Amino acid sequence: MLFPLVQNETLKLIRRRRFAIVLGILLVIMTLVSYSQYRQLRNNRDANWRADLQERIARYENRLRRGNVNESWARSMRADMNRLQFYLDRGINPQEPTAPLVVRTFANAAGFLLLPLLIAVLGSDIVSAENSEGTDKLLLTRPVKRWKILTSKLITLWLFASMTLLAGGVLSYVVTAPVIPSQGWDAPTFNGFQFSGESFNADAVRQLPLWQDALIAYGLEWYALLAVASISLMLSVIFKSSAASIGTMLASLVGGTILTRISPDWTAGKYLFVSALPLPDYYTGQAPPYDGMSMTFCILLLGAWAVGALCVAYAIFTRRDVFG
Amino acid sequence: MRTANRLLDSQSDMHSRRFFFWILPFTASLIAVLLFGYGFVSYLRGETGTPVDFLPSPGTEASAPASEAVAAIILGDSLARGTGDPTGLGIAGRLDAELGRRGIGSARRTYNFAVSGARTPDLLSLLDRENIRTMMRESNVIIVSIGGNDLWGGSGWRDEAPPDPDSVMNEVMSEIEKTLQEIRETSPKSRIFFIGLYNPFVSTPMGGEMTAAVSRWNSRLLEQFGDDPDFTLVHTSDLFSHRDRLALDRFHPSGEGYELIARRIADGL
Repeated sequence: MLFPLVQNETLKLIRRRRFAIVLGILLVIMTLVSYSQYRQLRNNRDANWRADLQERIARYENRLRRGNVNESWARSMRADMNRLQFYLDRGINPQEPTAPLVVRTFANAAGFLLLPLLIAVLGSDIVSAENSEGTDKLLLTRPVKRWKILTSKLITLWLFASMTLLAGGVLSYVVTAPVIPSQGWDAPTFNGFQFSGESFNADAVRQLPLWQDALIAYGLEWYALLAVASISLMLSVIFKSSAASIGTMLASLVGGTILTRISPDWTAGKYLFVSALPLPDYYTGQAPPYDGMSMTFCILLLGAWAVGALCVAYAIFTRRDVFG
Repeated sequence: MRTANRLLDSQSDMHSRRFFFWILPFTASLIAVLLFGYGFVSYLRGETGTPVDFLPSPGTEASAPASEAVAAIILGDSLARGTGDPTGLGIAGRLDAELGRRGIGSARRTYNFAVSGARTPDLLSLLDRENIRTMMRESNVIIVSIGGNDLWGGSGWRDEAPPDPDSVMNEVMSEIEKTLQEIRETSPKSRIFFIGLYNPFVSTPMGGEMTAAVSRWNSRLLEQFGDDPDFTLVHTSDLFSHRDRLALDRFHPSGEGYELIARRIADGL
């Protein structure tokens, strides 16, 4: 019973061309990225990466010493310093541009704003569009239980969120592989950098080949995107126009990020879903904006937000008056 | 109603479009779900890899610089960093420009590893880094500025001289000796340019006394290290004693101050 509904929702979503737009945006961005990586490769041909990393560490240290950086910036700078030093000590260039590394980096770089926004674009449409196109009445007066309708929409959205992430990963390889080295899936990567205050515990660091590391990073990003999709489904149910629901999502993503950066003292900010959103970043070794945000905390927090959002969405959707 | 019709239409030609509208997206998302689900689960199960078996690398083969081309690095404190220079170039950037103007061949730009506020222990622990050692071996000019923060300290001689300046100097001098020894061991043939001290407080009440202390310090540096033919003390005190070349913070050199120091180093190359 649910299966044909999902099929129908998929058809509608593709028909509305939103997914084509999403793919187009990804393609344009990845083309720009691959061009910039190509330029970097050409410029760095004679550069000394050891010196560059060492200089970056020195620059961080200078900024930290100057003292007028807020605590959450300071934490992420210290984290990055330790990470770079770790790579330097072991003679590994963490930034040698290869196509697999671009794929890996995509999970981090796009996971923080681009992908959630694209998911919001897809999600905002899935209920709101029925309203603006006038098909909601048609849909709701059919002899199908409302929770089934919403569930089919949720499943469809989750499927498309997964597909968007996959498309991003595949596109980033396909677009960059012709211009930069395409090998290097088994290059060593490191994760599990732990920080407590200023100290750095190198024993907790684990190593993985890049492909496995990438799978985990994508897995974490996928989980975060499912949460985003659930929240944007709620927004789509609440607002009758797609613009309003995309706008709200955009505002909470950008606003939440700014908030965590400008007021690190307001520790309740760690309960915002935005603080926990960049899971792949925290996995790679960036410091979360607040103390006491472990990975488990972030994963549970996102799960709680998703469940909460879905409860609200179901409550409203099943009770809404068709002619309201 | 237009959309509703479209929906009905789509039902009829669904078989022909079944592939693009259903089979392809569904298969793709199923693959995505399985792939990412596997990744997520393997994270949850803690399969994030083995403990690191890379030992810190013994340092790569340092390629010695071509003997005639200048390959410089700069180490030390804020003076080496370039604090106070409105252009942000500091000695490193200005030296590169100056060498370019004079047509002196330089193999690469000057690497700047200096950290504002560094004292001799900070520099010593930096020198322990394998990477820094490699960089030193790959250089033939090493510019060092250190000791100022140890001497001036937080207390600031701006207002009063320390009770026993000579004992402070002795301590700092032995630290600097250790530092330079370390650098020499790592890079036996490079030229070392050590930036001399200047008196930033000339115009304060303590100015006269301070100038004497600065001169004493600089002459002690020369005395201590002068027998190394590749050691050069870069005199700076005369640049600041009668002309105001200080930055807005009244402590670090201004752009002009840095420019003149960089020129002195270029003169020596």
